[in-house]
Amino acid sequence: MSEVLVAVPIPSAMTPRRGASAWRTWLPALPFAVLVLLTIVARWVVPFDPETVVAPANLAPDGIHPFGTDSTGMDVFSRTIAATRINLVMAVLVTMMATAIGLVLGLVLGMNEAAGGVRGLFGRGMTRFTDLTDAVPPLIVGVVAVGLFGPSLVSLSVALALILMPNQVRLTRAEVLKVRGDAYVDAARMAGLFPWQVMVRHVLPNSARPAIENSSNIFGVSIIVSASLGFLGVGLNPPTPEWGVMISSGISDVMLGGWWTTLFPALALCVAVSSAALLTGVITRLTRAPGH
Amino acid sequence: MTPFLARHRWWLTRTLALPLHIAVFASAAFFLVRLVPGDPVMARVDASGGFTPEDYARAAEQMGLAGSTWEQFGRFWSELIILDLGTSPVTGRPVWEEVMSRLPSTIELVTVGLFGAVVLALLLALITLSTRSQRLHAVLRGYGKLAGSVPDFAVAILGLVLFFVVLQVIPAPLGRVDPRMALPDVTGFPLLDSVITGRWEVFRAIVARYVLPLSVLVLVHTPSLWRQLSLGLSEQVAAPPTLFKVASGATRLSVYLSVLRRASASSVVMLGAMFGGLIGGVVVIEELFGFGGVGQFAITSVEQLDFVGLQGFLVVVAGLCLLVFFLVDLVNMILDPRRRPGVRVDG
Repeated sequence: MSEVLVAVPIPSAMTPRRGASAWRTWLPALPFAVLVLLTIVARWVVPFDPETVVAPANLAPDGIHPFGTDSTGMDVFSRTIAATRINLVMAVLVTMMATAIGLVLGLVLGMNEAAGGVRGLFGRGMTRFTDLTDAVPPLIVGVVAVGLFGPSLVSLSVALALILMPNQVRLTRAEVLKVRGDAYVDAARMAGLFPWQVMVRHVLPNSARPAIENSSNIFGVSIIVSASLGFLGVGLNPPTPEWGVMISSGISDVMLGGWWTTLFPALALCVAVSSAALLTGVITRLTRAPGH
Repeated sequence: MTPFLARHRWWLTRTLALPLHIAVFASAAFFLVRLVPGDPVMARVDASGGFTPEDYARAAEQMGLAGSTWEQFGRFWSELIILDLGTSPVTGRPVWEEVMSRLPSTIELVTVGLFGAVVLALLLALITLSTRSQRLHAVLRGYGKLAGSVPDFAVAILGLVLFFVVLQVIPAPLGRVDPRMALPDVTGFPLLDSVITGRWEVFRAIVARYVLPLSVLVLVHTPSLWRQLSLGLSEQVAAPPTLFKVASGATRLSVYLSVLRRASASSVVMLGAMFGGLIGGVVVIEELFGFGGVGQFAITSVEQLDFVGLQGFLVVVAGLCLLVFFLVDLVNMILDPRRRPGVRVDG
């Protein structure tokens, strides 16, 4: 797919430097890759069982318990590592759902907006509606979803995906509106392709980029929201290791000088979110690299 | 269309759209709450010792769930018109009062925080415009890359550990003021109230406890704003209108203002979106520091299965966000008349 087709100027900061080796492109993806690996192997690599009492309570970090133990005597290190499971799995689910639905909806809305009659009316109405969904903060949606449908991974993920989707719809739609009038789309249409073939084969590949680049953003937001819900006590139930829950149950220890039960999950949260942010650069390079 | 209407169409249509948007949202909130699987009334009825249909009816009545969905919808709307969001079956107080007693402090915290972010972003813009140092530009671009990639409450915890546990320079995160101190209540905005009543010791106590959360809000949320602004700046700084201004001998200040005016549209949109996000999102910071704001009401409603409260909360927060989006649109149309609907732009 030639880059000439996409009517966006390539910002100089984004183009890979001449002679940049592959590892330099991929290096920013390393933290994220490590996190994903941890998510898969967490249960086997942690030194202690993350859900049982393994030592006296409130031990400061030392050689055996590098992050100390919490107020019930569970190993903070093992719990911090094991928590990647819940926080990351949910973020991946949300990102995939939001991006997939966003692409489809954005494509359909963009293609039908200018149409006459019911189709166009529906397209414009839905666009307006996706604009309106911005008025509900994602965290509130999470709280409400848990309140209404109970604290389950699936209901929470679906609710977040639905509320973060409009961004993807908007990005895709804007790109579709640009691409739609391009000569190769007309050519495909005149060559006798069905409208859906034109949409899927020609318009979609040329308008998916902004939404795909934005997906790492969605990933970050969903990690933050899932941890926030845990912190507020409306997330998934303890003793399941989850960063937000660990932070909130550790916060009373901070008053007494026990900083480790809160600090390490908070740091892990920062690392996870920033690793997703680093990924943005990699995705941008991959989608913009000429002749990939 | 009369000339008057034609001239003022841009803000009139937008103003008329606002109540419509709020109405769509209020209805959506109503049906969302009715989507709950199972029977929420059963969760309230004390079924342990058996219950009569009258008990059930009373519980349904209390929760605003009596009658058919359409009857409820009619009742919901006839009450909403006069700002009656129903009575919370848990606290027994009107939901409107419950929300409004907590909303001002949240709005104040978010507004002051975002004001700081705007000031910092403008300062950074001024630095970028007035210096040519590539290194400084690179540092500022790096700061912009932090946008959205740092969870504010995690940073607040790092701050607490550093400034409260280690350095012991800030008061314990146990509320807005010392527990023995009474908060004056005139408008509901804590800082404003302490100024109005002239209680400077309360004002100082609040400020001392706001320093950390506000610095965190400013530091964490400026990058999003700054990134939008710097995108606009790099587009506009050497655009023909700027060159024209410079060539015609305008003062440096007037050139800067003109660049900012053209560059700021997308940052204003960003600011509005951030305000909406923070009204809900700042609840974590508020809980962390023991402030208690409007988000706390939502959490309690969820925990207590108070659907009337939840529904009312949704309506108020969505209404507030839509109001802010409305202001954003107006500001942008004032800053840049080309954004007004029906205005033809050449080229």
